[in-house]
Amino acid sequence: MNKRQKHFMKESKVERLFSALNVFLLLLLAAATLFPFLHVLAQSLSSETAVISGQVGLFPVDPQLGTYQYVMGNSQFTSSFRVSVIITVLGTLGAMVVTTFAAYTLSKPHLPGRNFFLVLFIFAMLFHGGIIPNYLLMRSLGLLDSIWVLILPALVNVFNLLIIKNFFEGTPESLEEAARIDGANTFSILFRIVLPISLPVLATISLFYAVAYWNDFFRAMIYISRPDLKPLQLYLYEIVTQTQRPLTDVPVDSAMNLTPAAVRSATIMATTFPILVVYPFLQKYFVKGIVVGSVKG
Amino acid sequence: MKRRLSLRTLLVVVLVMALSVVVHAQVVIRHMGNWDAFDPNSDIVAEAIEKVTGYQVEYSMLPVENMNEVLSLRVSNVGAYDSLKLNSQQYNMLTAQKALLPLDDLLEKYGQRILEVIKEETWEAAKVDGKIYGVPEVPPAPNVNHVILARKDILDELNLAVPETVDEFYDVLKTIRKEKNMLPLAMAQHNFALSVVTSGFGIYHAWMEVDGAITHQVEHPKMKEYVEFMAKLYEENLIDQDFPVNATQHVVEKFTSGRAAMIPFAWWQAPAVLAALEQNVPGSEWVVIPPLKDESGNRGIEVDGGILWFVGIPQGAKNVEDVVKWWNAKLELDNHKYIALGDEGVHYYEENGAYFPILPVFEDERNMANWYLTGVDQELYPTYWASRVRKNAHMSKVYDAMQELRQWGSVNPVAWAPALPTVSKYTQSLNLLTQDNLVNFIAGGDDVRNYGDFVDAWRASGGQESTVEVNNWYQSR
Amino acid sequence: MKQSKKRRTFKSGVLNYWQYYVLLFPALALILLFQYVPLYGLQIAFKDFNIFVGIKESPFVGFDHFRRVFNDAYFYKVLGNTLVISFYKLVFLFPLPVILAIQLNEVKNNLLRRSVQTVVYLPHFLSWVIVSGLFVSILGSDGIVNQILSPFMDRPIRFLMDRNWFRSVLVFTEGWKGVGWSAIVYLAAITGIDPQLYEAAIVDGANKFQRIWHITLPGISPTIILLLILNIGSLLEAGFQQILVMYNPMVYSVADIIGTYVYRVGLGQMNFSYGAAVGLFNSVVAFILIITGNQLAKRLAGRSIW
Repeated sequence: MNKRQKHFMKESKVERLFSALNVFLLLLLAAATLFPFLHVLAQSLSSETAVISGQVGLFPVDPQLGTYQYVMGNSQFTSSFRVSVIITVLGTLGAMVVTTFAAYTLSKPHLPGRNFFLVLFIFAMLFHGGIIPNYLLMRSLGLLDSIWVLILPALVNVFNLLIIKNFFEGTPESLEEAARIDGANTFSILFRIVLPISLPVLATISLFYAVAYWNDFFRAMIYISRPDLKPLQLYLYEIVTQTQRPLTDVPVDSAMNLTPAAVRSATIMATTFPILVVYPFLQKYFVKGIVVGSVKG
Repeated sequence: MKRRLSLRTLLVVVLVMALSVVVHAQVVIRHMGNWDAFDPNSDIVAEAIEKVTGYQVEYSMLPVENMNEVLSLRVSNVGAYDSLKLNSQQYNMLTAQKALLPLDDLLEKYGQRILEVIKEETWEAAKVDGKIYGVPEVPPAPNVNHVILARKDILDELNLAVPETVDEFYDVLKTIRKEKNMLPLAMAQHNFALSVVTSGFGIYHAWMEVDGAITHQVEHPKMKEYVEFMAKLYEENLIDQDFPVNATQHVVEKFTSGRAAMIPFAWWQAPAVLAALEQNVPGSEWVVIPPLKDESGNRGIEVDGGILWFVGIPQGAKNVEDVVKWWNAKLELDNHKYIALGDEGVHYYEENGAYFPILPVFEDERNMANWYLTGVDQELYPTYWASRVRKNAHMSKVYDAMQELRQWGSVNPVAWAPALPTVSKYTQSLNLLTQDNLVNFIAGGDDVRNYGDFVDAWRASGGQESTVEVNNWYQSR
Repeated sequence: MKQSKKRRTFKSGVLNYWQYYVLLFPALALILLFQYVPLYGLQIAFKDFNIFVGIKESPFVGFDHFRRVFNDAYFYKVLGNTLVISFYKLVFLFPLPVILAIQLNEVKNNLLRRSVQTVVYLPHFLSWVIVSGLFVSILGSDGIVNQILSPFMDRPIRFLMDRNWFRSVLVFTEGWKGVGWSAIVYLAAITGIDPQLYEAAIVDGANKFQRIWHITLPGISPTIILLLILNIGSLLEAGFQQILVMYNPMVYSVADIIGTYVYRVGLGQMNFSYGAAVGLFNSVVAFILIITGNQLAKRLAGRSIW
């Protein structure tokens, strides 16, 4: 820390200018990306009248909390929330175990058949059988209308697997070899040496999996017909899609029950917020020095 | 060994018997309908239906998108569903694949009430090759749904009368732009064929009878003129310059904030839109623009007609008799009314033969009743249904004003056609093709002189086949 | 020396290989079951598939669907659009997350860095429908952008309807929506760089820019190369969801891509076979691109996926 501060003092004028410019640009970007969120948030807290007539910018107009009461009180929302939390937690845990294991194996350059397996995974990432054979498969596995259909098929994401593998390849081989000479087996090397020094990437990929599980609605749309098993994002997707349909396509009875704009905004916020807080929580694993520190210590 | 075996057999026999008794006592009907924004198993209407029919029902829904694909996948899973509520495209698709059970005998035996309350002509229209595969449900009323709503206070201020002809309509828009410098007519991309305006060119709905044959509006001799007229409006900045990208939300925003003088309007938009207008523009008034007259003084506007839903049984369903009994029970006089309206004095009250909702109970407990219907009493249901419109004062008022246009009402001739597989196959993609091209012509992306090329493309993309199919039916009617 | 070390690792590894395969097994089994088993469905690209008849019983039509695709002059138009849009996005958007991650890494204040990091990733969570609705308002003829520009312009710019503007809007909105999200993986990679390297460089008198150039960038280059290869593999996608909700008939000539075209043509027709044929074409191209990308990376940068 001391050393760092000393060097900070030594920074040249150009470097300080750069730092200032850097912060300025980042704040500008942050403002541009924050704007739409604040807008939707403000809408969710405003009256329907203000929302549909476009009066709401970044601050609520005629503030109210009724929309949130309505959204949270909806039985479909509460059951969907439960489903989403379950699949996200189970899915992320399972996916991390399965993916990390495979990535570790595939990060070993001399493993016989390594390239074959890698190409096998990449091929699987690019070629898809389509809705019908997938549906028939889920049916024959008895997975239709079960939360497992939302978890199992997504446990291995090849993209995520390659990123972890990539990271493992960068970890110093010497640490592993030392442990191996001490008689440690592959599993204990993975758990006691490789994983602790890979926390940043593990945090990142956990986030990717959690967000993917939380946001996936397509599987549920196809495989789930029981309303009480619908995840939250499907519920949101339906509400948003419903209002996008041209008026001429909607039967009168459904048209009379279109979700009000302010409620829609509240639903967006309520379905998005739980997953947004995951990242700030994971950021503590992004702190520099944890890597070498943990190994040395 | 032997004894143990026989004991086991006995045990199995007893178990099976016990089980069959239990299963028989608890027939659970699995009913699937199209998507709507609620959970049909937890809604109170489900309870009400179970109470009056005695049947236990497990409801499920098709997804909001890819519904036809998912429907075919689910129906191909034989025995998974007992009762289906289908739109006409889905009905066509499943009957063409012989995936539905013929119902004639079942209805004769267990569905007397159903046969009674649905009109003969409706049954006829539901038949495929002379057989009934679905109980037809007609729209709740011959409603006029789409018009143009204008700010009456602005028309009055500028001494403008409600336009009756295409020329008057043009003058009104022109004057509003000139005098008020406001957007005369806001619109979205799917408003490319404004029925109020097409009426001025003799076109009332997608399919029109012209000289004894059925012609799609795309091929209607006057359609090109309509497009030219709209292109002129766009060119002269009399309609929304952003209309090719606008969604409904943007249009509503312009009207309710007082920036636009007219919008394409459906009566169910009234609660939100008119409340917002009232609040943002105090003293504003509205008026419905009636369909415009053509050169010979004729006019027309589409009213709901034909069959909206078909309720059928998939091949291989288990409890077919119970399903028909269940449908039948729901249509018994008292049950039908109870399911649609609830209890008198609790959910609704009656005044001069009309029904009015008691709020908020009606909204909470009968709002979704329509989703559960499996056929309606064609005489009585329209009076039940009308109560829904009266949930809201704005809606009630606009609805009544719009229904005065029924005097010019006209039903799309194809609405009453039975299964037309080619038409239903191509409808969606042809509609989109039409929207894409008309938006382009109107907004100046393409010259209207190329309209003929578009018609050729439309014909080649299934329009020709569809027209032939429609006319074969029409001539053999 | 190097040779003998390699042999030693190999030899000692052999004894333990079974443990590696055990670790690989669950992922492999899942992929085989959920990805490879349904691949028999690809045959519907060569059949006149009817969902009620089933995959097996549907009549075989050979390359008919592919012929329909490749005899369609418009297909080449949308193929061209797809490649151009993807190329723009790759050139302009691929470097942005790297730059953003480096920028964030240079922020000393912890709270500020974390806050910015969190805020810039927010747009990823709004669906394209919402984002599109927002930009239609912002970029409309009376939207805020045109209001600001109005003193300098005779007519409002029709950002979303003008063929000259639309692709820029696509690239911009995608960058805005995705840059924060894509930067996360680079941030993780930067965190993985050994801090001793920086300390040594400072002692050697390297300035900030030299440190970025000589330590940070090489440190994350494996990640950059991996993502570049994977990105090249998705050249034929070009952002289907985004374009489907943002485009309009006025800009089809520059914005219609393979995905949107196939979607429109097949709408409501349940023509699974045609879609499957196009999908198979896309997959084959993607596979070839990834293999090529991998070989190029191996030759040029000495790094590759396999």
